[in-house]
Amino acid sequence: MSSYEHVLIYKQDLSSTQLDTEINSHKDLIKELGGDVVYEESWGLRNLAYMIDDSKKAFYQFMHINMPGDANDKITAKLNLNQNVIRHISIKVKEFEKTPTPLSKEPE
Amino acid sequence: MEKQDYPAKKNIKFDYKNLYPLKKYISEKGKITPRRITYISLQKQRELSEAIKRARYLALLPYVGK
Repeated sequence: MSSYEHVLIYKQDLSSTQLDTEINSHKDLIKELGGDVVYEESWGLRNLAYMIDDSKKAFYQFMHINMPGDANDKITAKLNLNQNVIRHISIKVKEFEKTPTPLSKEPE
Repeated sequence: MEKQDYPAKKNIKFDYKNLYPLKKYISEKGKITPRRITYISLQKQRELSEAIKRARYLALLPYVGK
């Protein structure tokens, strides 16, 4: 088991229920592959620094995850096919930060 | 550009989630300031450039400025 930080960027034109189902399906996938979500945080609708696929804004979702190393490839493959996800990143960390991230506070 | 007293001298940990310290190290065009100007340690400079590149990928910082 390793610890990861996930950041997912969803399209701007999703409704709140669609966004919830997207996030929940992502969490279900992690649980299926033997991992668990320790902490999650929403950074809300933010302005993008540059346009991605003709969108200027996007929803950011941040997570702390414990999962086996081979699960990461499967999750990446699945996210690459998902058209509602513009960007995603998964970073291996030694230990999680205890404090909430600064981006969750600043509304921009 | 003159050498300036940047916040890295106060042992700040650079992280892609904390944008305020990173913004001090990018030029108007969005470039990463080189070490000969920032005057921070090699380890810190590596941490900084890694953090900026991650923030750029997530569209938190621009690749190219105005």
